[in-house]
Amino acid sequence: MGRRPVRPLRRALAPVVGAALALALAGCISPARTDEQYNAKAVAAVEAASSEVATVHLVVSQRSKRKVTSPYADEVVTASETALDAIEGAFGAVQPPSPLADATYAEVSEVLGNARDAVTHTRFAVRRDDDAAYADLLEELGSAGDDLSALEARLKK
Amino acid sequence: MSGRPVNPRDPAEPGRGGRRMDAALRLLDHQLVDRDGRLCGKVDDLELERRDDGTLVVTAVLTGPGALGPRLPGVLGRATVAVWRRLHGDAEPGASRIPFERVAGIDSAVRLTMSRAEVPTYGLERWARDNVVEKLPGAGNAPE
Amino acid sequence: MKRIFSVALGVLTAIGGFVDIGDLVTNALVGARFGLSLAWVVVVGVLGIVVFAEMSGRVAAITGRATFDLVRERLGPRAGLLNLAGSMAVTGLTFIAEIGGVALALELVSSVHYLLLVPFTGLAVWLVLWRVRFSTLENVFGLLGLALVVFGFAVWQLGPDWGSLLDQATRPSVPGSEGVPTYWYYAVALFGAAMTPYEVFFFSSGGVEEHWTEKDLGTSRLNVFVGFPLGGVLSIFIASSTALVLLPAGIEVDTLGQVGLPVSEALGRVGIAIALLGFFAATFGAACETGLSVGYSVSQYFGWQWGKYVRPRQAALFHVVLLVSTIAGVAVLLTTVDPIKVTEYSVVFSAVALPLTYFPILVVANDPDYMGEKVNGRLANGLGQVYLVLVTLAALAAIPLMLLTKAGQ
Repeated sequence: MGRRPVRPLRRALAPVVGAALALALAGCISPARTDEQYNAKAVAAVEAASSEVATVHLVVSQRSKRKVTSPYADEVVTASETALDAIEGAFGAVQPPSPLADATYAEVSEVLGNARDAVTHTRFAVRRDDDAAYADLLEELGSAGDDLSALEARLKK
Repeated sequence: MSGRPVNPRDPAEPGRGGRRMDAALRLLDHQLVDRDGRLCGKVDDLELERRDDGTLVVTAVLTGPGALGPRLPGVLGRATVAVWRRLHGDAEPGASRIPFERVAGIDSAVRLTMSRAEVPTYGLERWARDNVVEKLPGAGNAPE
Repeated sequence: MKRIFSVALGVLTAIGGFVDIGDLVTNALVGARFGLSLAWVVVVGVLGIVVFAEMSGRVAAITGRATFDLVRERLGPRAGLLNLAGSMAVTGLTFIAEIGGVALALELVSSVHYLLLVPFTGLAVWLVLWRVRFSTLENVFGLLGLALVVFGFAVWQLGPDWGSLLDQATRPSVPGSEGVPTYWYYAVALFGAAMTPYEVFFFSSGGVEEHWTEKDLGTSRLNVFVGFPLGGVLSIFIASSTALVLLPAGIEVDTLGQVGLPVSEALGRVGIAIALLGFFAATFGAACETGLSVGYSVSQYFGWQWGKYVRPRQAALFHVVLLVSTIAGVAVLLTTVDPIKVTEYSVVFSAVALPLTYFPILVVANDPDYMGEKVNGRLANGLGQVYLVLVTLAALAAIPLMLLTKAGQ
């Protein structure tokens, strides 16, 4: 059949598509070269952590009112715990671009660490079905959530 | 006789008493159906013969990767033909050919007088049936 | 009486079968971030799929052939191959997402890690495709999928400010916390989720499986005009429920477990049990449908005998494709890729593939050689052409938006 001028086009397109894919994937874990970029990553980590803490808070409050079964609550809390691990790990893996950014790292990792602890304590309680602990846990989670929000506001300034 | 590349835009004019029709529209890439109503491939290409009076006549339906390959562009087309050559065993297998006499009728599909087991490309389906499907329980049962 | 029963069954099955993992996740996610300000996209998307599913079903009823089957005839082997490649890629991705979705739903029920459930799910899907009759498959999972109506009850029970909900939906605006590109990225995603390419092809292959004739045009249309929109309403219920519960709490959806939380909040354990049944039915049904769609499209391109209306030994290559696709899908999931992430990408890539898959339907449905006098009327063509423009716009915008917003972050 007749030859079509497809090949030159395809050759030109290939590197473009490759670059596009690389860019899309690179959005996941890429280095931060400036303090602003590092800050943006910090904000993203804190936002994601906020969502997880809020999730756990909601599930615990539902569990304490018996609105949700223990296995379901366990699943949700464990998933959030794993997600928090990943968030901490991903943020920690980014090299701060300057010593100034180190202070940001210290702040964020402390708050993330507290959030992670709160969720881990929650996981303990949910798996033991420790009803008595829920009230305190809700407070602990609430304050971790507040810390995260406050940090987010500070970082965005 | 192996298939020759055909220009699908040439109208087919089977000799005296046959029907004139636009081969590209009515035949090419249409479904092949065997005498029991089973689907057995597509009309991947056509074999045409030029008669002495200059008219073109469809002499065979060509089917299978050997026929479709040359109609696909560039690397893909060549790869298809290469795979077919490898699977088939013959050095130059060409396309699977169904003489036009075995065509019973043409509506939206091309109906054949043969059973699909006689269509040359049935080999792949038979392989799949014998080596995969029949090995699994319940292959011959009607679905529950 | 029997007739009414079978018609009702068809409609109910269409409603329950409409929502798949893509709709579930995308609507929940969007509700939790944008409230109801993207609800209009669901409406637009559902109208689009209604227009094209009607055409597709009509093709099956009049010609006795599936729409995809006719694409190669009508547009040639090259266009047909392009269509095949595009729709197989997207449908394959969707298939993987659905199997993953089933495993996640089962994980929520059983507390067994979802990766252990993936091979079991793949086997179950394959067994159903191997042995279960087509109509049984459709009816069972379609009806069970109606369990998702629990989201509507949840919204009702949460006693929302209906006025403000309606306001959000009818006067959409980008919420302050989100960027405009992100809004449009999710609009494209939601559009892709509502108009998933495999659905229209599956619908017409299904019509051939059930041996539709011209007499069945009415039923086909009823399913499409009533069933699909009501299925779309279920999607909006899901978005509303997360808008009411997750949005105020600042929860963003990235797991299936979070999708159920509004239901447990409103209706407690009974509600969540029904929701889990709905998750399972929707994803398992869709896994079967997408698996079948891959088999249908490959077989219909090459002309192989396909379908569950014949015994497996008479459609050997078709069943080999089903088997290989299922194994491949399970293999991809076992690389521990996150099924929710796969889902999010699958809906965006669905949007990219839309023009490729929808344009041939319009061509075939307009061809009097196939359709006789049941060819597209002015309304169908008018709407069809409008939607072709829309899907092309969405397809062009999808990848740039994905890159710009880093896939919606």
